[in-house]
Amino acid sequence: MKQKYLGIGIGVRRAHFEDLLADKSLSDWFEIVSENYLTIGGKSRYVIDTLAKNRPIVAHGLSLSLASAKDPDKNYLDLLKKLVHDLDCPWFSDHLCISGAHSANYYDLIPPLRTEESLEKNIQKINYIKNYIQKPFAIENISHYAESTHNTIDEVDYINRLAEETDSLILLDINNVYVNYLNHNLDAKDYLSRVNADRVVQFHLAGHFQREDIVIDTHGEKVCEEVWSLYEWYLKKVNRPISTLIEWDHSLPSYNALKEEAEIARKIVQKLFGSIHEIS
Amino acid sequence: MKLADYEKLWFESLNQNIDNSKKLGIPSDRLNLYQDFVRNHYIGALEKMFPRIEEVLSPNWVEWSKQYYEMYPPLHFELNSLTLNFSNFIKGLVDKGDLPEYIIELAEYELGEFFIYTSPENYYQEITNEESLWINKASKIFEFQYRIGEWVKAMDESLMARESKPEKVSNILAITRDNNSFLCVMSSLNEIDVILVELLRRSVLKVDELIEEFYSIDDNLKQFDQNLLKQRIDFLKLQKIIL
Ligand SMILES: [Fe+2]
Repeated sequence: MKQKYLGIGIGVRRAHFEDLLADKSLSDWFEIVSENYLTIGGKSRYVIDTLAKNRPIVAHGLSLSLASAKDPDKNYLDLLKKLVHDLDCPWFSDHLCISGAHSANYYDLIPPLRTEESLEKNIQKINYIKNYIQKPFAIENISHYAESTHNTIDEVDYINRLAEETDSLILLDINNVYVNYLNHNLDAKDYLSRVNADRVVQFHLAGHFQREDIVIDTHGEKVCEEVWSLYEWYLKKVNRPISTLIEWDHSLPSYNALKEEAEIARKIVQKLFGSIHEIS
Repeated sequence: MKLADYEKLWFESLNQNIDNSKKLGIPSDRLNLYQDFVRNHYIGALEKMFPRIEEVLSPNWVEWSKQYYEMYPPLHFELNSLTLNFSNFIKGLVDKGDLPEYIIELAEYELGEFFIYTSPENYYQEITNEESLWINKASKIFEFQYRIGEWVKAMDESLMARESKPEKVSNILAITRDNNSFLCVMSSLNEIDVILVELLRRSVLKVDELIEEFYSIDDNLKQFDQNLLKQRIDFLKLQKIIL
C-alpha cells in the first residue's frame, strides 16, 4: 500500500507557466487538474510534458463523480488513462462527491449521499475505474455546505470503508476537514484521527474565505495557522512524512509567494523527520 | 433514500432551478449556494472564452449569459465545451433584432481563437522533413462579412471604443498558432492563399509539387504569375499557416 514520499509540491496553473519553464529549482512534484489537459495541446501540454521529464506529476480530476450511480463517461476514462500513463503519474485522484448526473456536469463538488446502498454503488464504480485506468487511485474528502438528513453512515467511516473495499489510497485535504469543522461543528482532530492513516498518500493544504454566514473553501487564500497546526499535529501522530500539495485555484499568488508557502510545509517536515534526502 | 433519487433531486435543483431542499434534507439557503456555484462556474467559463463579447454586450451580458445557461445547461466534462452552442444562441438574438449582426462573427472569431490556442495538434516534436510543406493543423480560416480582424486588434490595443462597429466588407481571415511561441497569429488572406491551404490540407507537398498542383486545377489559374505564387507561399510560411 505504501507509495513513495514525493515531498512538497504545488499545483500547475496557467498564470505560472513562464515561471515554471524558467525555474531552475523546481518544487519536488506537481499536481495538475486533469480536465485541463485531456484534449488540450499548445502551451499547456508543452509545460506539463517539460515538467514531467524532471518531476513526478499527479493528475487530480473533478469529473469522475465517484459518489454518483452514473457510469463513468467512457471517453473521459480513455482520455484520463492516456494522460495518467503518458505522464507516468505515481497515482491519480478525484473527490468523493457527485460532479454530474443525468448527462449533466456541474463542475462542482456536490456532497455524496452516505448510505449502505450508495456505498455499495460507489465501491462498484471505483473498482471499475481503477481496473480501467490501471494506476493507484486516491479518494479525496471534500468540504461541503450541506449535510443531508438522509445520511446514515459517518463521513470518516464511509471514506475508510470505501478505500478499504476498493484498495484505494486517501488524499486527505486538511483544509476541507477544517472548513467542515467550522461550518458543521465537526471535531477536526477526531475526524483526522479516525481516518485510516495507512492509506493516506497525500495531503492538500489550501485556504478558505470566511463569509459572515458560512466559510467557503475558495482555494484563494493562504493556508491558515489552524490548518498548519493540524498538519503538524497529524504528521507527528502518524510519524511519517506524507506527500503534501499546496492548492490554489483563485486569486493566485505570485509563483515565488506560492513556493514560499510550500517552504513552510517543508520546514515542518524537516523539523519532524529531517531532510527529504534522509527520508528517501 | 435511494442514491438514484438523491441524484435526481440534485439534478432538478441545479439544472432546472427547482427547490428540492426539503426532499434532499438540507437547508434551502445551502442549496441556493450550490445553485449559485454551478451557475457561476458556467458564466465564468463563458467570460473567459468571449471576453470581447462580454465587453461589447455589457451591461446586458449577465442576463444573456444566464439565459444561455438555462437553454444549454452543461453536458460535458470539459467546461469549455459549454460554449459550443454560443454562436447559435447569439444568432437567435440577432434574428430577434436584439443584437447587431456582426456579433455572430465576433463569437465565431473568439471561439476559433480559443480552440486554435488550445488545439491538441502539437508540432514542436514532430516535423522532421523540412523540404516538404505541411499545413499547420492548429489554424482556421474564416470568411467574414465584417472586418472582425482589424476591429479586434484595435479593441485589444484600446484604440477603439467598444461602441464602435466593424466595417462591413467581405474578407478572409486566418488564425494560426505559432508552435514555438504558442501564440495565435492573425492573417488576412486572399483567394489564392485559400487554394494553396486547401491543397496542403489534402497532402504534404514539396514547393514544386504544390505549384504544379495549383496550375493543374483549372485554366484560369494557369494565368497566375509563378513568382507571385511563390511570394504567397512565403507569406503563408511567414504567418505560420504553412510549416
Ligand atoms: Fe483539495
